Formats: sequence, structure tokens, C-alpha cells
Amino acid sequence: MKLDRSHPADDRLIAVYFGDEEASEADRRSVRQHLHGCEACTWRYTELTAPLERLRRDAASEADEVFTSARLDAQCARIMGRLDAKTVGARVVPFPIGANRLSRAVIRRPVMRWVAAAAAAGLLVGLAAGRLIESDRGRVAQVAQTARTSASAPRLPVPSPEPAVAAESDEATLTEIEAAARSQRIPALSVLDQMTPHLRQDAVLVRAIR
Amino acid sequence: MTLPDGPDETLPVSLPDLPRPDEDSRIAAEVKALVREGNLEAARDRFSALVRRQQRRASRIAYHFLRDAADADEAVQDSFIKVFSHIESFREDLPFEVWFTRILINGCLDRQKARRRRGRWAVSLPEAEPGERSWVESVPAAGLSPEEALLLRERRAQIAAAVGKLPERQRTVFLLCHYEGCSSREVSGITGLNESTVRVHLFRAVRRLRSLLGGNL
Ligand SMILES: [Zn+2]
Repeated sequence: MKLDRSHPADDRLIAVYFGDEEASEADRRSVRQHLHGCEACTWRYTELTAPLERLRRDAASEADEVFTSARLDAQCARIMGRLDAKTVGARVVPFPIGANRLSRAVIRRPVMRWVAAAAAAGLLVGLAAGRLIESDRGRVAQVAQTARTSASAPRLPVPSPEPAVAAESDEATLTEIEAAARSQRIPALSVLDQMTPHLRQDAVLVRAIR
Repeated sequence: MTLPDGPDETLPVSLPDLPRPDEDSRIAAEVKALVREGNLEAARDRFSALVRRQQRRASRIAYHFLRDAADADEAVQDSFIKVFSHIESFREDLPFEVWFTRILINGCLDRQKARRRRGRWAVSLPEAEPGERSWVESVPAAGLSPEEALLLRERRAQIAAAVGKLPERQRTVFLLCHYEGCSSREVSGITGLNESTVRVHLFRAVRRLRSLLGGNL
């Protein structure tokens, strides 16, 4: 078979490395054949993928060094402990029967007064805090920055704002791509969407179980 | 990016070519059945097998997202608790791992957002638990000279900082595809992104990392 003389772009080589599922088998075969026949591209492929491979291996070993077997055992025990609180609690602790006999009026009025007072206090605190946050936003950011730079523990560099801006514009472009893609969204994924609990809905539940 | 939850689409008759239910999915189905019967204690016991099977992978993912062992640990715990609490919504004909990873990543992303809101978003070092050696002492593994260990730590720090600079979607896709070896189809199932969008994010992430890390990648 004739060797494909057009040198594949970096992205195509990376796609081959990641096992591009979209490319046809013929396309993948043509890139592989080209790699066999072209020393420059073979070198480029190795240059592109060897560091990625090293990165992957190192990432796995780094996490495994942190999450030792002992740590995983402790984690499992904590999960089971939290589930115990849920499962045992659900079965054993009934609502106190005696409580039903208490007059609603007796319970309700002080509770209502307390709730009303707490709500009023909360509103006042909220309003005051809102103003403080607005006026002190600059100062808070400055204090946070000072705290970060003066921390004595070894810290890794904080991302500088410049790449973040570039990152955001990149993100915006991809958001557009995604919005376009969403119109032809994989309908089958809605099954996963529907069975995935939403985080904010569950925050209260998780705290209750904890 | 919080992964999408519940668009108003009708349930499809057929499912995408996600991997067929495996052992984990079978265990999850058993747990679900036990919960439905009201046998919570047995469900909890069966669930422990699922925790054992998934927790290393989950901890790794959470650690790469959060770069803090304690935070990652909590994220993993919360995800398992959440899975147990919502096990009745698990669909037995779907891969458990995809569902679980989705819940885990939502948790990690929420934690990241909370951390940013607290104004201390940085690639921070994990703190040692009482009685444990500090991260700096215990990582990396034995067998390296102090100089080699220092170099490795510096390299990891650089890589972590670079990955931390990736936009959220690129980072999510990169960590799942590259670190966890998920296919773009699986990542599509986990993130709700279109498969071709997953690939775009992946290539952009790799390109950006190469420009950020230069000779180190
Ligand atoms: Zn070539």
C-alpha cells in the first residue's frame, strides 16, 4: 500500500495516542503506516506522547502515595460509620410518642416567637453583612492576598491572573461549541442526568447524615 | 461546571454504547433491592463491597481535582453517602461507575468553587492527619535520594499548578481521559458533554499544558 506522504498534524498524533474513536479504522491505519515509514513523525510522536505517558504514571503513583492502604481503610470505616448513623437511626429511633400528647398551643407559641425573632435578627445581620461585603470587597481581597503570601508553609504558585483571563476566553469559546452541541445532545444521557442527584439539593441531606 | 441534572427530555428507549453493566453495577442493583425491601442494614453491608471496589479510584480522581488529601477524602466520603441515599434512582442497566464518577466530580467541582469563594484558591499541599508524617516528608516514595525527591516534588508542583490553570471543562476531561484512562464516550456519559466536545477539550488541554510546561511536558 502507498505511504501517506502528508505528515499528520500534532493533534492527529495525539488523537492516535488517545485512541481516537471517531477516526475510521482506515484513517488510523494510514497514520500508523505513515509513522512506520517516516522517521521525523515517529520522533515527533514519541516527543509528544512520552511526556504524557510519564505524566499519567506519575499522577497515579502520586495519588497512591497519599492514599495508602491504611488511609483507605480509615476512609471506608468513616463511610460505614456515617451510613450506620443513617441506617440504624432510621430503624431504631422512633418519634417520641409522648410528644404527641403535648398541646400544640404550648409548643407552638414560644417556638413561633423564637423563629420570628431569629428571622428578624438574621435579616438585620444579612443586611449589615451585605453592606460590609460591598464596601470591603477590595480590602478583603487584599487581606486574603497578604495571608497567602505570608503563609509559612511551602505553597505552590498561585495561578497568575493573565493565564486565567486567557483560560476564560477559551472557556467561552468552548461554551459556545457546547451550546451548539447541546442542540443535538445525546438523548440517552438524560437517563444519567435524571438519576444524578444534584449537589445543592443534597447538601442538607449529606450534612444530616454526617 | 456543574454537570447537568435532569433536562426535560423523555427517557430514551435505547442507551448509548456505554460499557455494559459490570460487577459494580450488579452490586449496586442488589443494594437498591435491599433498600427497597427496607433492609437497610443488609444494604449497608453490601454497599461496603462497592466502597471497597471504587474507593481507590475515587480517591485518586478527587485528589487530582482538589490537590488536598483531606478535602479529597471528604469528597469521596460524601459521594458514597450520596450514592447510598439515592440508590433507588440508580438504573441497573447503566454502568454504576459512570454514575458514581459523575456524582464524585460534581462534589469536587462544588468544593473547588467553595474554596475559590473563600478566597484561598491555590494548589495547596495536603495537611497531615494527627500522627501522620507531613505530605512533604511522606511524598514521594522511598528509594529516591533527597535531591531526586526534591526534583520530583518540584515537577509535581509545576504540573499541578499547570493543570490547575486549565479551564474547568478542560481540566475535568483531561483528568478523566488521561489520568483515569476513560474513553471519550465514558467521559461523555460522566460529564454530559458531547463526545466530540470531549475530544476538543482534551486536545486543548494537552496543547495548553505543553505551552505552560514547556520542556516539562
Ligand atoms: Zn511524516
